[in-house]
Amino acid sequence: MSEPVRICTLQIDGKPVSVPEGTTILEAGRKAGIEIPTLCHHPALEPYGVCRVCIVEVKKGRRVRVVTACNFPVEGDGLEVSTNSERIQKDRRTVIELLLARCFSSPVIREFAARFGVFDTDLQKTEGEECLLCGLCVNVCRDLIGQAAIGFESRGADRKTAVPFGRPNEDCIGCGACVYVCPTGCIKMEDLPGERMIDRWMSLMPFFKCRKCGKAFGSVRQLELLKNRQPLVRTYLELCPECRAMDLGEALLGPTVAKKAAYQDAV
Amino acid sequence: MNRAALEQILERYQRNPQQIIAILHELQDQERYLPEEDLLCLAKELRIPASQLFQISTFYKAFSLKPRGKHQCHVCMGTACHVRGAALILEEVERKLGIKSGETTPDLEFSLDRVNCLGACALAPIVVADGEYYGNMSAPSVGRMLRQVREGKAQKPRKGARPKAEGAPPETSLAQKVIPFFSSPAELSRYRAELVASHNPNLPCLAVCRGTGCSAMGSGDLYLSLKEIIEGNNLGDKVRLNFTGCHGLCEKGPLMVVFPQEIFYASVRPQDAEEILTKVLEKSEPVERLLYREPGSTEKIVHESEVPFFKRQKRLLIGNNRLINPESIDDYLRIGGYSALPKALFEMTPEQVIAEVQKAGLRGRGGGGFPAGLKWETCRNAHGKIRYVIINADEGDPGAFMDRSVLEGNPHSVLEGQIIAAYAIAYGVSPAQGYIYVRHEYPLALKFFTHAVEQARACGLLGKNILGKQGFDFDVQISQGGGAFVCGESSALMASIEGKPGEPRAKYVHTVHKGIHNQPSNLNNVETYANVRLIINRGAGWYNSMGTENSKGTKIFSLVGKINRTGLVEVPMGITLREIVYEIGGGIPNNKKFKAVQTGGPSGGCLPESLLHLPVDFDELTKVGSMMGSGGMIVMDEDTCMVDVARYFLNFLLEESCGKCTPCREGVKQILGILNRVCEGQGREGDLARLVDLGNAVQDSSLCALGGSAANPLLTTIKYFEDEYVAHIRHKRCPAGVCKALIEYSIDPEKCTGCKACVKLCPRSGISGDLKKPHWLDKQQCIKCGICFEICKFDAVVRRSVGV
Repeated sequence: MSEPVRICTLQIDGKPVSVPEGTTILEAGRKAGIEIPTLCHHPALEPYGVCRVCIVEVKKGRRVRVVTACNFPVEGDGLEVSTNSERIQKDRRTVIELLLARCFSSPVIREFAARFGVFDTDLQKTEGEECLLCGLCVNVCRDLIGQAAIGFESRGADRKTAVPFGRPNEDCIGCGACVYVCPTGCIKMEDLPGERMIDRWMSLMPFFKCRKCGKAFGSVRQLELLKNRQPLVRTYLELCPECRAMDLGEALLGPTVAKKAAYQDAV
Repeated sequence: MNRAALEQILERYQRNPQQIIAILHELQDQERYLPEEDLLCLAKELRIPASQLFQISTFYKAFSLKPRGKHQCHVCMGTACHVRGAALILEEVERKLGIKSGETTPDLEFSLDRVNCLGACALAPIVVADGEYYGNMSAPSVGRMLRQVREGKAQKPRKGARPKAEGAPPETSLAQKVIPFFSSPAELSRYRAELVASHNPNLPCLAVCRGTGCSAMGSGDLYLSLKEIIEGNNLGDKVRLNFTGCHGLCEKGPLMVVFPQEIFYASVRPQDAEEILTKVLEKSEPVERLLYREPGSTEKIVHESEVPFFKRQKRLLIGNNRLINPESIDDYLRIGGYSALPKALFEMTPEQVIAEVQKAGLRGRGGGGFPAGLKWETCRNAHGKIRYVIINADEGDPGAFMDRSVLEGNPHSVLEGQIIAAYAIAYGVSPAQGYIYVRHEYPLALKFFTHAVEQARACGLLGKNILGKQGFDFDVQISQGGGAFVCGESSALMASIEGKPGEPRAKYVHTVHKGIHNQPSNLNNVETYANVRLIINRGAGWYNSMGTENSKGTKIFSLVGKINRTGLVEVPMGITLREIVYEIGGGIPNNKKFKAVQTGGPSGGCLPESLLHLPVDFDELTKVGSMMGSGGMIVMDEDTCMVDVARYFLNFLLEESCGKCTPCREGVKQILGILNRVCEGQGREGDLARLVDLGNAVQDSSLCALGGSAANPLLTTIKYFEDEYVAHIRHKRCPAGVCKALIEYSIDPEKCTGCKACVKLCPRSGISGDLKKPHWLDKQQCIKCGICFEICKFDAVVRRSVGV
């Protein structure tokens, strides 16, 4: 038998809000109408807490600390959260400045930094880097898609996203989820005639062609995987979405259309 | 590797994916690297995604995906070695081999790597090549060392520095002894009584130290020499020989003590064996030339307890090292080991054990200082199906080797504490499972502790219904590291035990609630567990009468660096820094001036002379911006550049950062970038303020304590040695004469005798001069390698930092 979830009251920037115990400060903030900035956060994934943009100051009793809002769980009552104190403003700007120095080549990061008044930095800039190591691509591939085709390599300043051994990897099914979640767009997917290419992972794979109209609509690997994972009728996955819809439509409406035609003939 | 061999390795570890690090070590030991096809095969067999195995192989620095050289050369870059000149030594090795650290020579003969602290700081600076230790290195001696490595020849004994295989101590033939199984405390007591009765305390016993420092200096050979003579002359019933844990005064190794008189011999060589034995058997006076003598005094000290180094210590934890052979459970039992365990199991409830530990005031010895009793209580009360009791033996602070010495010298003392903790935390609540996580750089600690676990299992101290306590089942699994300092952090350590890359996670939900496999996990340091049996045996009241108000008991320190007596020191909390450095450590060698004492490793700070009066405990040093830490204490003198020290620590942290979070990965890198600029004479006004700002942001916003404390070495050196920063930035001057870009070498013609020693060794042939004529150093050629400075016996080479 599970215990009922406690409701906790806290204050965010002076605004009181009540949330179930275990809710993160980020979620509590949204409930209170306060939007805390994030970069590595995605609603479909567990918080990773690495970009450190969402830092806030929390006070309970006499203890004050700086924590990330995306994964700090609210427990008990009396938590006082400050999302924009002087200390946080200073720290957050430095974090963003550090990101800017790394990803100065990324227009997305430059624009993001500009929102916080950070337009340039005297820190050493890296050339040609657009990946901020938010981990969204790695996490979505492992946790949502279940393929774990990509991961990290090395550690520290050498940490980077990678395919194992720098070779094309059959675990990549070309679904494009990584492309979709990447905040800077540094993962590029190109649909070439007959093939899908994700350059960053050296993925190159043939398309599956619709049995009816011949249009390419997904990678062979992706469809094979779906076939194995889902108890779907084989034929369902061999038609492109449009032909599939028509097929279904005919199957559902077919008798009615036939009846109507027969009726009209009769009339 | 062929499939069959791979299968064998997999079988040895029961195909357990959690043991991936150990499996990879075995693969690499045999293949000299990790071949891609073997890794892909392992991924399949262990059902680990290839991407995860790839990350593990590249995350842990012990592993290499490229073939390594026939000879593996590791230059220790620990703090003590750094302060004694390791950086210039590494440069010379790089120059001679033609490769940079981390690379392998094209002919696959040599691989070169840095390693962060081998724990043999008495021999600093050290290079380990092919398992052999080359201590007291200097840039000029690199050539000779490499020659010997190539030829596989052992170096002739020289100033006590002698290469010795670390992982191959002589066979002490204890493995054959059968230990009885104890199904009750009574049986254990009876056995112990037999051991005590059959032990003749008046029989002379020679205790030779087998600690790392002494082993590296050749104590193994000394032991063998003594053994040969004893066995060869059938003297086994007249004199006992023991090969014991670390005695502590590593500077003077190889050490030995002759019982029962406790005659203390220092710097003993294998050839002294005969004389020592003769004197012992004749019951005549000690061998005078081997007796300890204080520097600057002619008086010989006979007894160990009178040696100033030992006099002021309170060696509750490491004092027993010299009485026992770490491979012998009998030795441990005889001196009273495993008396606390039956007392806890049969005379106390788990709650009473916790209360006792709380009353004693035991705080974690790994650096955090968290109250152990409170941690145990929280773990016991947490929600979970199983409780994990873990020993953190990932001692990574460079210059710290306390845990190593305890594990290698008295492994059962740690195991006993762990078993008692398991009882307190889990008995009556849930099953418990023990782990120890040992860093890869400590193969001997791993070996001895594993052996201790096997012995304990064999005699019923581990397993089911321990000592007859119904329902108390506990056993310990051994887990190894792969060369990652960050794995000392609790959540990273547990991830590593689970077979994942050692990346920390947010600790808003603490590991004591959700640790390994999201179950309640109690993690304590080696030394913390070693204290437990003392508290149970002698009571909390006795224990908390030692130390200060909030820091009870004793603390082990590794006293290293610019200090006369390098070694392992155990003192009551509250002793002053001054007492440790001067009374116990004997002050600074070569009449140099004290500058700073560094404690707390990369999370700690440097304190100046004006603060030497401070008592050492958990809180006093923290108040002034440093911290006591795990016990590494590095002494620095006038020749140490404090800006360089900050740079050293930030560089260490950058190498060891997991790289997950922005502030640590990018912030430490940028701070290091500025420090490098400053040390190269490119400092700018505003750099100091920038460093402080960056330091504060990294401190505030990092994900774990590695980043969270990364700014400490920087901020404390700025606080207490700001003048050195100003000198570097504003005046382009390095007062200590360390930062290459800011110093220059020249030869004083008045002092030069024209011996040509420097001429021969200069890597750039930049010194010219005839025999018996003053030499001349070409500043244009000079690469500031420091070799001429080291080699000159006449102080004719001058090193200055002029500045602007």
